[in-house]
Amino acid sequence: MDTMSSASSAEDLLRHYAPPPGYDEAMQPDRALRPGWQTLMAHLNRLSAPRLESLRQQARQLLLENGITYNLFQTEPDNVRAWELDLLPLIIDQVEWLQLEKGLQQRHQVLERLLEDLYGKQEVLRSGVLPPALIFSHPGYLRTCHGLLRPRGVSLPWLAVDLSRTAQGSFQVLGDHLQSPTGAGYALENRQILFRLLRQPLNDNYVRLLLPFFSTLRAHLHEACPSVKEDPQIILLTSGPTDKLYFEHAFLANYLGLTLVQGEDLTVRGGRLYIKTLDGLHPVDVVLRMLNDAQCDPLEMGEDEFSGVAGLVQAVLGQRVAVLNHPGAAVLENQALLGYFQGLCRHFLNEPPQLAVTPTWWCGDPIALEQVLDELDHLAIQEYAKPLRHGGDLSGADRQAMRQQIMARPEDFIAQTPINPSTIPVMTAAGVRPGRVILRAFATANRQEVEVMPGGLARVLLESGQAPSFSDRSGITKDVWVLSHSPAVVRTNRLPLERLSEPSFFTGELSSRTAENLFWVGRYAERTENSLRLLKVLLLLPRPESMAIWEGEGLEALRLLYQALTLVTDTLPGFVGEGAAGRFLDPEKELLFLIRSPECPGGIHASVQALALAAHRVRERLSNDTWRVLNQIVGLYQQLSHHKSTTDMVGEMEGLITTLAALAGLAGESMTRGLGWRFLDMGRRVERAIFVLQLLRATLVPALEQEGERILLDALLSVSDSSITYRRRYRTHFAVKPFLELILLDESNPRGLASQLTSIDLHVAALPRRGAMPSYRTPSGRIILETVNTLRMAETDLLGAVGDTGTRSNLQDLLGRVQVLIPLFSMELAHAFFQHSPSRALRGGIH
Amino acid sequence: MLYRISHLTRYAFSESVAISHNLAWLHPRATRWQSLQHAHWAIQPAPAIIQERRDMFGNRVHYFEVLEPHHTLVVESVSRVELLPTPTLRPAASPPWEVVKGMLATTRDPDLLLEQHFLLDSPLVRRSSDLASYAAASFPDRRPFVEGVLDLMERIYKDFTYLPNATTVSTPLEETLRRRQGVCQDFAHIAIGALRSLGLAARYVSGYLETLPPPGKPRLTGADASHAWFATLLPGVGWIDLDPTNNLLPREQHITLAWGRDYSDVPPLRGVVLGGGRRPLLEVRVDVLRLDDDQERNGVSPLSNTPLVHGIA
Repeated sequence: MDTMSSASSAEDLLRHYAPPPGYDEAMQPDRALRPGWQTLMAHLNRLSAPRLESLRQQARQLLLENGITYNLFQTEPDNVRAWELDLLPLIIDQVEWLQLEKGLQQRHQVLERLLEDLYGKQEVLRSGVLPPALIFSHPGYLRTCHGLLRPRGVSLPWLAVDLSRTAQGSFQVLGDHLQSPTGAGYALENRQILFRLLRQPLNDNYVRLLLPFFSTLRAHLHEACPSVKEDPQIILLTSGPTDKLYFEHAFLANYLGLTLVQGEDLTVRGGRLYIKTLDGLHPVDVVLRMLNDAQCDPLEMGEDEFSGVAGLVQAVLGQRVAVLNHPGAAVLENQALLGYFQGLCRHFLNEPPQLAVTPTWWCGDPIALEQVLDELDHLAIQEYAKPLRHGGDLSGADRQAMRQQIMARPEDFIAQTPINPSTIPVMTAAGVRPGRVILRAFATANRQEVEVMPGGLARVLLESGQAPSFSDRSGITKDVWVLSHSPAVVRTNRLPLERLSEPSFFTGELSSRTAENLFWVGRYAERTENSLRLLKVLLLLPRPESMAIWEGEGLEALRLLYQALTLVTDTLPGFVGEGAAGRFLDPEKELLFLIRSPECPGGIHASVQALALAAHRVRERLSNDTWRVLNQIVGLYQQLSHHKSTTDMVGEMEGLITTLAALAGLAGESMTRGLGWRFLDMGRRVERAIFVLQLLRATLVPALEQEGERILLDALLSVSDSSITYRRRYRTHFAVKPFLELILLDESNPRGLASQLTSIDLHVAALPRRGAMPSYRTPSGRIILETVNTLRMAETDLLGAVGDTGTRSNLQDLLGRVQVLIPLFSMELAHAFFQHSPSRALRGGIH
Repeated sequence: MLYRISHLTRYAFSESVAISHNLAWLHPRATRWQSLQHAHWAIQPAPAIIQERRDMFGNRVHYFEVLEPHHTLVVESVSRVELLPTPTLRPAASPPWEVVKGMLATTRDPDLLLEQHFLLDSPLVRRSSDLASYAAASFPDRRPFVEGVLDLMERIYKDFTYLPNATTVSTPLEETLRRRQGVCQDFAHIAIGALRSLGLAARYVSGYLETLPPPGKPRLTGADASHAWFATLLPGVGWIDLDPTNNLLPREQHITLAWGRDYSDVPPLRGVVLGGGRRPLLEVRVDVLRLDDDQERNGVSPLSNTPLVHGIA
């Protein structure tokens, strides 16, 4: 690894560290280390270079394992989680932290009151503390929320604030995140990783724990319940796997013990919010929403019909549910407010601000506008929802254009003094280098108190000489260590629990969407495995192009197997349709297409991708072990698809098949036998049944001579992983009749068709249904019973019989009948349990 | 003057709708010159819940849910409104428009400060230099404010062609300004954008026109559907309504439903449905009837009774 040499000067990692002038987080101007850094560096300097490099790699690997599977296949670079975790934390001393804490507490108090006022009496506007146009012109000011704020708890139970240091080393506020403060989950994840890697320096420094903060957050959510309830239903609302931050949502939901839902899981009826589950509607009391305001309620706010829940605002208005942070909070994210914070602080609390803000001017104020236009060269200019631009970086013509734009619509612009954050050492592949760091701090509040997370998420940009822009989400993150002077803090220092509490009384119930996705996880996992088994067997057999070694019958058997591949993967023409003969004699291209091409809808790529996506959608239902196995599956598949020739692929195929089997094993071993497991298992069994049917129909309906049959049956037993069972029972005598007995009719063979059907029948009997109706009265129950019975009444002797046309027509009939019934069953199941219709917006007419 | 208004909206869906959530700005608000005597709903299928609230402009908004499967949704609002005589304007006596602009920009009056909603951009109306220059012709230096606004209204009336279906809700204002055609809503938006581009306040008014005028009076344009016009603010006097579609000051024939920054704040009906297939067919019928003294006394409605059930008072 080329990075080894760079870390070899490990005796003193910071020997060559030379931060530019200004405040550095690790070193004082005399190069003496700041508090906390001595113990950390002493620890790291004791480690060998390879050990350090290994820690760096482990950090990366753990981060990857935790969350990345879901976006491996997503093409937009936007969706790739670009965080990296640096081993070196941002360290903040206790005394300094206490001051910061006070400042954040005060800030929360002001913002909470401001929100209430802006959507209520609007005293700050009427009295001139804030120019009304500043609020009215901001897209975050939601008029529909006016008069809406009457929560039992606070409106802003959590808050994130971005901070940076000034050249003098004091903190100043860069901005607030209030709609759905993100990053707390990442902060927690970073800490969990460093607990594994740097436990000793964490303990030696008495670094404060994050866990109590999350317990408090959980308690505050509980308290926000609009009615007094022992065990309120609290959910975490996400826009789903397409959200860049979905991993964090799933992670937080899991940790806080909240039910993770999407808009389509919810419905408002009679002005009350409900979650749709397989056994009916359950009322929801508190929603921790990870959506922006505009996505919360398509009826009231959004242009987007497909996110959020129609009627949610009305449910909030009726005080039947608390949505947190309160809808409308976006108005507080208006950076123009920074320039007015002092006045707001005086207005609401009658005290000066304890925490400075970045000097900010709102151009909608004529006096500020004049100043800004005069000083344009020295300011950073920001238009709403546009990237920051530095006046000094612009050419003369561009600066003139900007001047015009500002004057045309001054209220859309703010100007700020450019920030120049403190520097901090970063361990890069090229050694320790200075980066610029900003800190995202978090707080949670109820009516009585504001608690600040003793830690946070630090984001770093490597020093490049250019003005830093932290607007995009990529980059390096750091854990934030808040030092305590008391060893009492660390007595309980241990790996944080995997989750704070189990999802409340919701356990066992399952949303329709989750059931559907688990069903598809089962189907795609099985589909991938089946296709791979067949492919592997084909690759191990002699190639059709090496004609010479094949007797005529052998070639025929091989042709049937290749045809089966096309049929089970549904990739016509392939080895069946037009051009099949040519492809059969030179199958490499078609095989590679099936295995590697993203454009092949029935191919392995598509199956693995669909598996990853479905699994990702139910991330919170899957154990960490399961997730790790899914990661391996995706990783192995990627290795597999790098090969240019199929002859090199068998090894990885076997690895993949084993890993897929491990996935099935985990589901069998580590999932509780609830409805979730039933849907997952049904998906698997439906898919396996379809596979067996297609495979047999493609290969055994035409009858071959003995030699061909032997090759065929041997291959089929291998594909269905039943060779050993068969040999134990029937020795080496290959014949169609015992084969059909084992693969088709034997209910005790877990790889055979019959056992799939009887298992499905058992699952169906356990599904929720109306009243005391027996399961065989439901459409899906009836179909599966019919299928089981069809198979039970079949006679092996007749099935094996070859008719005048040289085909096994009885077998063909039976397989055909069952082959119609199974998709029908799948459809009925979907109809009964998964049904989702997309919603759309209506507009009234006016002329 | 007493009016009975019936506003019926019918959506026909190609596929069954499982559930729908709706908001309606269909009950007239009370104003200085208008009192609401009575209003009720006839919605089919019957809503599971209907709740009223005020939006931030003081309009009456109704939220309702239809929870039974349906292929058609019929929403009818029936109301009875009394219009009071409005005072006559003396345009020449109003202050120069620059003075009005200055008052709006620099006021410290708490109530006037909150009217700044109507000076700024809104979702469907963005200020622009094109709109400003269109407005400028009506506002030469020192012209009395009301004279200027009346002139602007008349110019829109003359410059623009009333042409149904020429525009949709999503047609940008610049395009309407360029093509010089549209419906009442577009004309109102043009006027609002023009005034705001000069730094004057303007709001959108949604309402109705009398369907059949009294003998001897012409039938006004836009009478068989909902209508829209605009209003502008003269500090100290209040909001003045103007109807650019008919070039007149609304009085006695215009019933106000609701107002906002533009159409998007006060659509008569807005909803989200689950299911329903592709675009539903939409049918709107508005009847605005002047009640004479007899009808008023007996409470007899001369309107045909629409066969809708489930009225909600």
